[in-house]
Amino acid sequence: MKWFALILCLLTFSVHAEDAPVTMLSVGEALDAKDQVTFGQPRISGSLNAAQQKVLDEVMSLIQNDFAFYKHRFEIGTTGSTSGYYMVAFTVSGAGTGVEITAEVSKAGKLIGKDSASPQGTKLRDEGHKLSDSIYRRITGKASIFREKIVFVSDRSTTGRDTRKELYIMDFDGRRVERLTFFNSTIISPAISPDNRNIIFSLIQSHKTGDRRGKENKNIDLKVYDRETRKFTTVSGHPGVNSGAAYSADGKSIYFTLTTSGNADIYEMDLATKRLRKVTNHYAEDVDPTVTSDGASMSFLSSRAGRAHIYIMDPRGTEKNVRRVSFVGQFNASPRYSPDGKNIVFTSWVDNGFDLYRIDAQGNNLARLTKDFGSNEEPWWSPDGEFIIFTSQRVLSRTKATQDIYIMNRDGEILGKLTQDFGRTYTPRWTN
Amino acid sequence: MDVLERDRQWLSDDFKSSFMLAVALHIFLIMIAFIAGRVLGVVAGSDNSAVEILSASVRVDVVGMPKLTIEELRQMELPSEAPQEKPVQAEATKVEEAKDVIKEGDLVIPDESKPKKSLSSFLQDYSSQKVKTAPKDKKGEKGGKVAGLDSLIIEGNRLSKGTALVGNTSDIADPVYVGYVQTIPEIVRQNWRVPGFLKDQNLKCKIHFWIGPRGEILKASVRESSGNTEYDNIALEAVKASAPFAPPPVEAAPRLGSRGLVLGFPLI
Repeated sequence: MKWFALILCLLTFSVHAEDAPVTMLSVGEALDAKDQVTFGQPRISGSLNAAQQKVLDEVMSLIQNDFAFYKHRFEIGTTGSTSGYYMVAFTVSGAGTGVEITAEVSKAGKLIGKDSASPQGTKLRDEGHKLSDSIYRRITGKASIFREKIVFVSDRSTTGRDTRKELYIMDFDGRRVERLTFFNSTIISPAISPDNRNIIFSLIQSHKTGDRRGKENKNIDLKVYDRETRKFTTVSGHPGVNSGAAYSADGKSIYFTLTTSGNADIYEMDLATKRLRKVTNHYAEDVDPTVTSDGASMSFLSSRAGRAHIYIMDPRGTEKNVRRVSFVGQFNASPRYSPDGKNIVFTSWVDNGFDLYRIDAQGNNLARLTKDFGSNEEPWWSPDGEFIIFTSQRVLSRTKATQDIYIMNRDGEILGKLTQDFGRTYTPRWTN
Repeated sequence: MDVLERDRQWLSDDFKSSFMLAVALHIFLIMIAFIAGRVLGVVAGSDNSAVEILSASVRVDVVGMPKLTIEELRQMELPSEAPQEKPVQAEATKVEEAKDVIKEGDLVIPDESKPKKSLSSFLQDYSSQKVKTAPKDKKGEKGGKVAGLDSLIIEGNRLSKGTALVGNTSDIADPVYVGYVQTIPEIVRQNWRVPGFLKDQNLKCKIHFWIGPRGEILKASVRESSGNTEYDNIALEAVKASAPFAPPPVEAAPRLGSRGLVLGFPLI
């Protein structure tokens, strides 16, 4: 019996020891501590004439304005002695009609880098943003949005009842708007290539059907505009809808919706060979793809659950690893993957309007971003994942409404309006 | 009759002895297997103690979209920070509590202190332990308004408490413990602020800490360093700044005090 008691004791001992393992949990993504950045007064070597002084003032306010977009990352203008403390010193000399500016960035008193720019004439804003971007890179080690362009659609050229929606391009801060197309037609869902050179968009186009009465057939074709050669080419003109294109991170292929097979599915097209590959293959409608920067995951909207919901999948296969992300919402639309693939921003119908929400790719942490701010649609992440641009509609009367483009940071802090009195604007996009 | 009687006698004697031998051999074999298993297990594992990984479970339920925005949730967070009572209280009572808990913790681990407990009675205790349901309002009671607000903020961005628990949770058997433990990472995360230049280096560290019965931290240390002391310290400070947590439910308190928790910054 002693034996038995001993054995039982041993058994209970081991059971107890196994009883409570150490529990391990993940904390998740860290919140940002703000980097403290101080901009010094520009030191002028020699003297500047009035025109040069004006250029300098303009560039300095441009740099300050650029950094104000990242106010969630930086604390500007305060001094401190923490290891995250940066100082930017400017030295300026006159050069022709403009100036030559050198920015020296130091961290905790130690010089970490030096960049210069020579803003003047029409290059003023380009050079200014370039200098801002260099300073930002020195501090964070990453690219900023300062040199990015936003493409969008506006109906401002509409005359009378004939709605025209044409393509426009502007700087990330809403300046220097330029009209790109004169089709006198309707353009939908544009996208800009990673190198900012090509813009892909869908156009409602009339095709001659060969009918004797001259009847025309309207089709939604996919076209590309080359900003350097200023030429348009049709990329995909299959019967039906060819739209919702999103560039892959390397810019070599696009993901878009085709309805040739009778139901909307997402395809990948190699832009060089024009070869198509089916990415989704489901009897439900699959639309609106966006792809992460590593190309390993794609978000899209699908009605396969009965209602429109957000899904993700591996776009390198067909129907590969499809996973549902959203389970709530009356009507969800425009899911957009953040470039790092961690979050998805989308718009959802609540109380007579659309508002923007953010959810992580695992389907957790559903967060509301906008509220009491008109009807908000068409979100799109900035290439660095720090900002979201979107359209916001205000109804003024039964027949009048404004729709402008706004920019906010990833947590829903609205930073400002990018378009003003520019007709109704749609589908703002930048490189993702 | 005689022959049969003798046979029976012989049979029972022989049977008895061989049965005992068989039993002894079986027990011996089982013990060898058991000890070998334990020894091998310890050798194979990098750590002496068993480790259980809890991943956040996804609560799936058909509920509405969140009403409050992140900005609104942040504004609600502020009042909870304004009355600086929480940390002060913790400082004052820390030392006292620490002593208490170590004693309690010793009692709770019955390994050495109660070696004569039989397997069946242990199993009985063990199963009855699980059946007890935790008084769920406990959390709110002591923390008062502040704790209530904290949990509200944390739940604000989730899909609310659902009816089903889906996910890679290995310890579903102890829902009270899991329920409590899963609130910890988000509370700590709210205090974990990493400057951009460190964040971009993709560092990783693990902090091991022990929670006392009143939600205070008994001890906290770096279990696995990232190689960057500044990063380790920020994580360690984030854990310390998060205390006191809501008092753990009675069922969970012993395990939190004796075994502690390991948090991975950012991931395990």
